[in-house]
Amino acid sequence: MRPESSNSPLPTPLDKWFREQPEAERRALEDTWMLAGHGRIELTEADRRRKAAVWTSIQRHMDEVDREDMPRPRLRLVQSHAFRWASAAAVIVLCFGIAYFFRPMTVMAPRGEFAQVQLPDGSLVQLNSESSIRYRAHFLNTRGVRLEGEAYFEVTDSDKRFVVETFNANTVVLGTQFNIRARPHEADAATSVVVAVGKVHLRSKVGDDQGVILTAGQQSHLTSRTHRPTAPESVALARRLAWRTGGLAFSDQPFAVIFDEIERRYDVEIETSEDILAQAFSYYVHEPKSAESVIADLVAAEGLRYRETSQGFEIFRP
Amino acid sequence: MRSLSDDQFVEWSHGIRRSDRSTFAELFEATYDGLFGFARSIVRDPQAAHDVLQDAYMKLWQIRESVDPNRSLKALLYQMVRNYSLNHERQRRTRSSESIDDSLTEPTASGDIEGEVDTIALSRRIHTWIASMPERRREAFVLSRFEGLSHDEIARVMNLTPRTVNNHIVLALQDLRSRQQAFEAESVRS
Repeated sequence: MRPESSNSPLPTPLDKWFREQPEAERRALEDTWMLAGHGRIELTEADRRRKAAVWTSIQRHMDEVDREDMPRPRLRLVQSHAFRWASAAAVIVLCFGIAYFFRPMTVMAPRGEFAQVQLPDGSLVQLNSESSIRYRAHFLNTRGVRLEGEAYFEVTDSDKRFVVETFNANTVVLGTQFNIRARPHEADAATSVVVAVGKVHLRSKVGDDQGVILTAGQQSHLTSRTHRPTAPESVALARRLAWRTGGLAFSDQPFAVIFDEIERRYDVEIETSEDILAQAFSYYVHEPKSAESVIADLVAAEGLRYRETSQGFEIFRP
Repeated sequence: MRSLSDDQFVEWSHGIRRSDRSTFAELFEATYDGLFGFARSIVRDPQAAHDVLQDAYMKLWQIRESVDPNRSLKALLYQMVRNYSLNHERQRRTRSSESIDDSLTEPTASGDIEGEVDTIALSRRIHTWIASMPERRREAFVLSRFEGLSHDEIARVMNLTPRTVNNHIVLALQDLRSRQQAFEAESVRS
């Protein structure tokens, strides 16, 4: 907020405009201005980790540009500088310690990694790359978790409902094993649920649709366009769950989706052209050796070419 | 960035012109969170917002010798973050051929997990409201309400007149007000 110079919390020109409004209207708008303060975007734990990573990259970049224009005197890293960072780090650690007790927990698998979480009720969650899960340190009446990305759940039996909230859907279960994929920033983003064991109930967070019940071996998608899950269909579980053992499986999906998954899995950047992105492809590999081996397979099958770049690969037509 | 004084920015300008890394570290630490909030008001994906910031700080280091202490470094930072963010959004839209409207609809807050803390629900709801505003209105509002930029500073960052900035902010407030009223009416009914 700006420095408090007057009684009003409003910036000056706005304050002037407000004074010209009827009393009741002015109060209401001032009230809204205060309330809107809750809308500030704060950094999450994951954001703080990312911020630290950004700073590391920037420092590396500074070294590089300084080497390029040499005559500039070399920069020394002062002792007090290191100390300042150490104490800042200590403060952050302390804040996390306190926050740990009061706030929801977040576990994140960054790009290029998987993660496994045991929830307070003993349920197990396996996270695919660039996926995160949020839950409270202690469950109350409902075992509620929030997922962004993809995860496989093994839910312990209990009479408390287990609810997975994704950007557009709630998946309600008792005790079972299932996979959810919900990447809200994808084109045609959907919450996709596949059940391995038991039964789950998938329904939209909005609208009156009653949703669908999925049993073992069945899958359904829910997009925000219809707010209604697709009818349950049988799927090849081994393929849909291939990611759990490091595999990759795509059936007739555009390269845009396939490359995004490879970028997440191996933390690489893939550059290519629009027409290639739109092309659909099916691919299944149980134990890929590396990002490069996967790329080599794809381009060979489609008659494309690739070359390595500083951060990944470029794929193009010959 | 809200409590940082103009003098502080002038001091930082001199420091980074001298290529002083500890000044740059201090600037980064003090300004990152605010700029992140601003970037997120344009770029939906948090990862992309971090990337945007990384690019902006790297650029600032590259051009550090041409930073003019007599001109607002604060406005310059917001300006760079804004340009990179808008570029990113433009590229993303072409890549996914997603409509602008789609990119602005935030996840609905109606399906909150039982027992979720009220303030989290409230701030999510306000996020949603702010996210659904037209782009420039949202930018002006976020810079004013959350980043504490003056109308003049916002005008410089967004390349508008201060009067237009004020109009945007007033419209944003009225917009929020009517959503708040609609929401309150609904909660009374149910």
